[in-house]
Amino acid sequence: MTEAMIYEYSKKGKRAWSMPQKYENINENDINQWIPKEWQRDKIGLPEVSEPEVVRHFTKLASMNYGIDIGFYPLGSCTMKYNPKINEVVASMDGLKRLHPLQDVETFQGALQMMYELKQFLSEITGMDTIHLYPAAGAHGELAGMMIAKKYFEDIGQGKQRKVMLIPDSAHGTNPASAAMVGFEIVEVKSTPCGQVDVDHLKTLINEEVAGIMLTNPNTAGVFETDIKEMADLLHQNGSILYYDGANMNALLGQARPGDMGFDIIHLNLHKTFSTPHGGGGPGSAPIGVKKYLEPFLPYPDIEKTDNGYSWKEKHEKSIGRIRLAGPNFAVLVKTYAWILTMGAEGLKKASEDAVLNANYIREHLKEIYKDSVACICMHECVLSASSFEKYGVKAKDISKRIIDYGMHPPTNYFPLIIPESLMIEPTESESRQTLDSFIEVMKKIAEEAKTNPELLLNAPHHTPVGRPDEVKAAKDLDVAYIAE
Amino acid sequence: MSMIKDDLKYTKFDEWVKIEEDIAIVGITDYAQKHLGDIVFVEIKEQGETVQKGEVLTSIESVKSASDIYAPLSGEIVEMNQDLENDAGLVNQDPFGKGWIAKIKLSNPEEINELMDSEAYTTFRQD
Amino acid sequence: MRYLPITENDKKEMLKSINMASMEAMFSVIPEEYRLKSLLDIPLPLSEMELMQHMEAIASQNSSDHNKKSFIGEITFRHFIPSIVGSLSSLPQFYTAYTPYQPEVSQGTLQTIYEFQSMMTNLTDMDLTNASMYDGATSAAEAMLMICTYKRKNKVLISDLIHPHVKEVLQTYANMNNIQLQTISSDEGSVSIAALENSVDKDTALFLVQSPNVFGVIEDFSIMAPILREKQIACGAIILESLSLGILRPPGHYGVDVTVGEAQSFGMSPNLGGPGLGFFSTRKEYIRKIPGRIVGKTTDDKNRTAYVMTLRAREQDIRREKATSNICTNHALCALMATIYLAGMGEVGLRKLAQWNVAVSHYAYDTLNDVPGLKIPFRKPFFNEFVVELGQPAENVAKKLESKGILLSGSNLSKSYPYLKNPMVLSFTELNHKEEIDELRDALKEALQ
Repeated sequence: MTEAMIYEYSKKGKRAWSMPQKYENINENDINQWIPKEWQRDKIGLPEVSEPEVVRHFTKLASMNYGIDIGFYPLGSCTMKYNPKINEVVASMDGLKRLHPLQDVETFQGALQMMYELKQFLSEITGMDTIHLYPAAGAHGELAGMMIAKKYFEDIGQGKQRKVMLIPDSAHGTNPASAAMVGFEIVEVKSTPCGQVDVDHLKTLINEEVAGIMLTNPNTAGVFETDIKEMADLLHQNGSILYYDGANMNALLGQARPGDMGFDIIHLNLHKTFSTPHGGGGPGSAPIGVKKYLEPFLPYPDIEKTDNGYSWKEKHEKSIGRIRLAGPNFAVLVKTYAWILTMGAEGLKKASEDAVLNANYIREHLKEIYKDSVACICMHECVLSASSFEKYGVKAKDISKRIIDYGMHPPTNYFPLIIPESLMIEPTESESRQTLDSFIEVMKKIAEEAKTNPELLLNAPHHTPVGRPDEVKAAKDLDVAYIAE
Repeated sequence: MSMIKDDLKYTKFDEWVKIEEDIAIVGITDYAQKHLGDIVFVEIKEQGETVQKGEVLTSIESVKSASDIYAPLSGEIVEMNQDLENDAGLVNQDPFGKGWIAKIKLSNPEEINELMDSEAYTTFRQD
Repeated sequence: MRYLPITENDKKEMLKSINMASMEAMFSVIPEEYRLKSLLDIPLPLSEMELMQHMEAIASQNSSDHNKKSFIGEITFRHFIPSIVGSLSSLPQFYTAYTPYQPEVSQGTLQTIYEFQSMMTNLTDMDLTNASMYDGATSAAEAMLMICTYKRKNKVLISDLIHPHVKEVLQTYANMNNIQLQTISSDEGSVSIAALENSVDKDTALFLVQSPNVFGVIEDFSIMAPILREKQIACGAIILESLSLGILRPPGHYGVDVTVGEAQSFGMSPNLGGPGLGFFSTRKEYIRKIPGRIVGKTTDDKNRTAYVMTLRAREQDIRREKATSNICTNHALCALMATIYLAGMGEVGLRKLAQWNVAVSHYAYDTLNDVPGLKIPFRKPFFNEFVVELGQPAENVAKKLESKGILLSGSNLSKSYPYLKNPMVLSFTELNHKEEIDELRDALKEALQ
């Protein structure tokens, strides 16, 4: 079952809008007086559809999607946890959602207080001295963090010298992309078979040109970087900084803090660790945190608490500058704040415990069948491999597509790049033991099918609105927009 | 098993070079096109640009990857294969023929000696 | 804890089944010195009811146009949001889904992105639009980076009448890329054509201009575009009030290279500035250099129409440090809201609404024209906001009116435009009734006495 494109419902005269009569019948001549006729457009190129049709169209489209509210979504590195309903309700309160960013600070003291408290919570959770709330998503936080690093080295007269950013080969693609965007040269650090940073290799790379290293901990293989102290010491002794990619912070909530491990700059993904919805690809929010000595370089504006209440802090002369048009993703911050208050300190700790327990439970029960190339205790996610099924002509992708047939969302495939035919599974703390057991059952069943009836996997999924799309055709015969006649 | 042609020169980046007087015709090998998968795009550079050996000559995209093609020899780009603009798949279908990528007018013909012959490339690919 | 389904008993059994002595043992991979010895210093957990009351208390300390009259715009716009937008975008299959990496279970998201791309491409009269950006300013910054990379030049001209917030973001991004920004001065509230002609040279990659500009004035692309084309300089249009596209000829009509901006007007609440919706529209020649995701239409194995993310090889997860941008998560749910909004307004509704905004703001223009102590410095066509000069510091006037239940902009424009005397931008949308505008006139009269 596919759904027609919205333009296909269009017919002159249909409408889903309403407005007061006097404006609907506005005099075109008046308009022409105000805006020269030649500056006015002829057609706009939007469909004309009635309200019931709009509602059915988008409801049908929604039904063609899979979401965390439907079922198990073990997408590794993405932390697909439950998005609480109360968070959506509070974020849509009029006294929050209708605030305009250019209002006088005295008119939204409640919102400022909330953001100020959230900064303190995140500072406590991460062990960083100061939190800044503005970056819009993980990559944006990384970019701001890299700008801070660059500006810091310029400030201490090492701008030209510190041109290298070290990045493990297991890192998220955003890390090298963000560092490259501010002009750092990327040097890759190798991983051990366990997926951890190869410290011996790291040692050979450290020199006076190294500005820093970007690390995810636990790393993208789901393994804690046990040598973090040695690495931090090596880099700090070299005058370099440590950047923490917070994508995997869910493993550490209430257990350990990047600030204590020596990280100088961090970002968090509120749309991962802090329960805010992904929305099919955003909006996220990625506050950054820094140690005291980097505070002056933070973006502006920022909030401060004064004797007269909360207000905007004056711009520091060393600030990297403004990074957003209007504000942070405030609605996402509201949901995060609500989640932290709901969880409390014990809840946060139990969340990371359950997340780690769930991942290890899955790993332990599947590692015999799906070769576990990372032979260490994993944290909140485990990376299995489908490489032993290649002899049946079955790849990780085919296993993933077959999982869909069983009503679950597939794990992450082909990441991290260092593990061949990877299946990266992150169950999160939101899953019950029953769900984990049924997933394990499904994975075992699929392993059998791969041997006895590989076609079943190669042609999967079988019950979705569409089958596997032709990606070559999409890229060759590019059709990325319908142009209305 | 990938095809390797005897009368061509090769690089370790899986490019082939055919020398015709002072012009080098450059493409990617059968091995490379198989490795990349369905090629959907080859960047067509302006004629007249000069490149040094080892610099990025152009880039090539399949659905799931993008790779740089490095200039096997120094010189001026005198022609790019315009047919690839409409059908980059020619690189898959006929890597040594219709799927050629660029013609470079050599500025330092001695560099030819640094390329592999088909025998050396066969050994290189077997390793 | 109601979000956590693992019971104490589950925990025991599960630990046992994986041969783990205790939870402590499982976390023993973290070096002892980093293990937290006590609970985090976070307030006690709140029940749902307590949380609701707490949040209501916070919200009640804030005022906005839900309990006051507001005439603020500039970067974020107040518009009526039809019920279908909230109702449909809050379907959990939409908002609890991840990025559509698995197309077979993401056709809903993918098709709406394609529809978003289509609507924005038509609205801007460009060739293509990506799946969305964070906001109007970062979208403008990415456009600047894309054009500079494409043209291999690093000089960019920017109109002085781009909103200071956007200018500052452009400066932040320019600083780290050795891009040299040169400001083009203005003349009577719009770009000085003479200054533009004098500044274009062979090193210039791009000219960026906002329309309607920071003063609300509509810029004339029919004059600017040919000057740039002749010198082979790219032209980039920034639009912060996207509703203006409901009536104005889009910059794309005049052949600009990129049109970027903020589409928060299409169905999103102001949200104290975020999340809004950045959009990025451009020409075919740039398609392989664009930042972010783009969805393409194709077919599946049974020849049914299917949508899929395409041109993925530009992106950071494949190209890493050579990617066209680092952007990954964008504002997909906001793009969905805009798509629903635009589907609902349609060809006729959006035009009527834009006309309504023009009518309301021109009523305000006429009404405020004779307020003593208030001057309207520029007499040029505008859409739904215009700048005024006040006889007193703008901040003082705003404070006085606040006590009367009227919210005015607190943006400090006098810093950026010292040649204006106490400037303030007043913004009028369909949410501002005639009576409210009369009230504003009376309040201003009194305040400016």
